[in-house]
Amino acid sequence: MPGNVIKVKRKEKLGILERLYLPMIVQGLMVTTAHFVSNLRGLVTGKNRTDFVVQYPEERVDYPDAFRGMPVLVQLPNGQPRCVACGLCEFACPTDCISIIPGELEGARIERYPETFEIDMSRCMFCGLCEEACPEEAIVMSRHVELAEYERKALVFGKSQLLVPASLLERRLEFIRGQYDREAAPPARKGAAT
Amino acid sequence: MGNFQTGVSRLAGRNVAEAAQARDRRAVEFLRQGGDSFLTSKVDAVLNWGRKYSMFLYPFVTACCGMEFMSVAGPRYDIDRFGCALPRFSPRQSDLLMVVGTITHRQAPILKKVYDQMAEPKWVIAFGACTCSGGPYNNYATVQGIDTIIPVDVYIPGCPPRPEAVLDGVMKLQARVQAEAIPDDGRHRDIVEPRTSRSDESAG
Repeated sequence: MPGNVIKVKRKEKLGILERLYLPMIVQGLMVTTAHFVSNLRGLVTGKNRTDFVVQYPEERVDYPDAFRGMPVLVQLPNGQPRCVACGLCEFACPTDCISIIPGELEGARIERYPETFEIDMSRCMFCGLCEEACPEEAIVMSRHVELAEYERKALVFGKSQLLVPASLLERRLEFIRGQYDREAAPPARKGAAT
Repeated sequence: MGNFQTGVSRLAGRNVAEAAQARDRRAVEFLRQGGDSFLTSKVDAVLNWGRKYSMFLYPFVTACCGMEFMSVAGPRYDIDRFGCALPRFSPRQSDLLMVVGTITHRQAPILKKVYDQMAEPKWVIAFGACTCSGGPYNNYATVQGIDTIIPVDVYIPGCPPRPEAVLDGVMKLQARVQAEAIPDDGRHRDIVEPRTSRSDESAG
């Protein structure tokens, strides 16, 4: 059933108070004032808050697991990116905002690494296709969205701005393992049959 | 101020009237040196404080970012908490041009006209990827960033930007407004010549 329909009984004729008009205005204003006072008290004391506003710089909403903020590079404990500069994200990117110059390390276990890895945040549309394409779990979507800048050039992020330690990205890494059927077992979903 | 007091204490042993005269001379000298800049910096601070918390914005909404703009303007992420609500749909009455959404080449002259019609002081926020750089639309029809047409103060990337990102951009704009110096002729700043070519950037 699509919702309950409530029938409101209304008086056909106005009483003396309604016809006088002013008492009803005062009554209405008292409702507004009561809301104002209770919200103000809640805002000041922090208890029993009923207002709807997110007081942004002090408060934030918690984004769901699937939220996609700016893409970041996963940093290994030795400080190097996990990226092997295969270029799949560059290829998958619909806005062509990723540009990679690969480099080579002699004698290392993993020889390839990105010499420069640039993402033009002014073009990026946070679609997550790079993350989906990446075979190394090296580029993931973070929860960071505040990217406003005074200069357009400052919005081209290099490796130093993109590298984030893997320990800070656990939540997203767990999520994409389940999402993209990576080697780890997918987390049990609520209400799933299996 | 510190110079003043050390000056007075050094002269304390002398005749009081002489000391007062010397102090007055020093005060006049101090004001002459600091002079105009002392006074105007205070006026600047007060004026900018008033300006940054009473932005009337002109929403130049052309595309899907408009939904996110409404979300910012709505009660949940109330942009009015930053004194930046109250959309005016007349360029003459607005301080802040918020360019929200894709600007095509056909739309560009209108945007330029609206910007030119706004009275100084005026600021521009590029809201969303399309206005910052053309975003996903790297093609013949779309302006590759509105900074090719008009000067932009704050770029807010995102497709569309989260309300948090927009509020962050508004706060950055307020910081910029507070830091501005108001020239003697009352103009908010010199007209910035817009860049006409994007040849320094690769096409993608």
